[in-house]
Amino acid sequence: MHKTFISVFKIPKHFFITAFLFSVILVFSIVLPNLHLISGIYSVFGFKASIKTIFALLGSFKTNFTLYSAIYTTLIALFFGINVSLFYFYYSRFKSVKKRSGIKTNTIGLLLGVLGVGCASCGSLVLASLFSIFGLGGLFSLLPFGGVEFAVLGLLMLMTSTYYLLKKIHDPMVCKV
Amino acid sequence: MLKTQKGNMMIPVSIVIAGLLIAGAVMFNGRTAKAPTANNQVPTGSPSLENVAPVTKDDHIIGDINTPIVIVEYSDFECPFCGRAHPILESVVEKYEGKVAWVYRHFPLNQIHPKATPYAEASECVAELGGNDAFWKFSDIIFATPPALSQLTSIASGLGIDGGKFDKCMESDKHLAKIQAQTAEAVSTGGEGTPWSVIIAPDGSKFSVSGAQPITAWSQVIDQILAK
Repeated sequence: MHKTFISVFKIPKHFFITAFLFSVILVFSIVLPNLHLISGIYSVFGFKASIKTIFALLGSFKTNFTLYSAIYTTLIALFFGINVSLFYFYYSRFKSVKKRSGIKTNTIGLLLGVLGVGCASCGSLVLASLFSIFGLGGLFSLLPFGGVEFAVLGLLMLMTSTYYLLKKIHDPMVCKV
Repeated sequence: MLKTQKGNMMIPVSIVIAGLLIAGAVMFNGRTAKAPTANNQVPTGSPSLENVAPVTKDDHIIGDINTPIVIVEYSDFECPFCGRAHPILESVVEKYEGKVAWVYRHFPLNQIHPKATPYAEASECVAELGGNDAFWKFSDIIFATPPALSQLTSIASGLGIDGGKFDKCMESDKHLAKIQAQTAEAVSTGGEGTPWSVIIAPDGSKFSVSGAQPITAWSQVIDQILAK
């Protein structure tokens, strides 16, 4: 499986897709609690000032995260980037082969991966917001770790999706008897 | 042919769904249920930074009330991130001496910090009996090493405050209404966690800062305001 991983990421395009998405998701996770500040700075001082503010807020990775939240936030961003690259590789390789079942299960894997994207303070961003939409936002205060469970759940989903994608890429293209 | 088209549609549809989920998450994450006040009443009305109460001489303040920029911090003495923010804001005020003032207001998160309100009450008693300086020294001590509630009297005594008067003040709960009002104010400004700060610029415009931000982030915002 690790040979499959290396064969995918030795292609520069896939490495850069992962690096780009990792950076975007990580930066977004760090500055997420202060989107209002960034929009306020933008509306009063303009685009350049808001970009400078975003970079200045990156330092909160040290001040506003615990060791554990920094680790799982980084891993979530990393595995999301890896997922998208693997999915892109898989789709590029197999698009000429009309394997409907492969596309369906891979779609599920990607959606599961999206649910895992999150931030330190909000756990799994998507899961937390979905819960809030359905009036279950108060659930977090009942959880033993205040919602961090969702970050871990999201990370596990992403890791599972990564494994599944690697397996699909690794499996030979054969027609099953 | 139709089956093939349906299979090919799964990819773009799933990408659209994923994008909508992320967009929805970003949108709705800012509209999660608000932290209730100490008496469990959720404030009505849309949150707005304009709900920050004017700074008065009755506030706990470092710096002059008439300085160009005022940082109003809503904080919880039991919150570890507030503990991280505390020395950072001390550095900010030191760096921008004469230009930035720092106001402390209460925002105890009782749901997760059971000692937060007693700490807040203790700080108000210290302020009443020992003045503004005593309040800030007390807050330094609490944030540095959160004590057991039984130690609060000895901490107050260490600041030169009469232990008996302090205990009487604590038992009276006379400052509880003020703490609850400031908590409601924090929520009405949009605060959903601590520390939550509102920077008031000289022209009255306001900027919110959530979480324990490094001095570089504070400097970036303050420098922009001062340069305007």
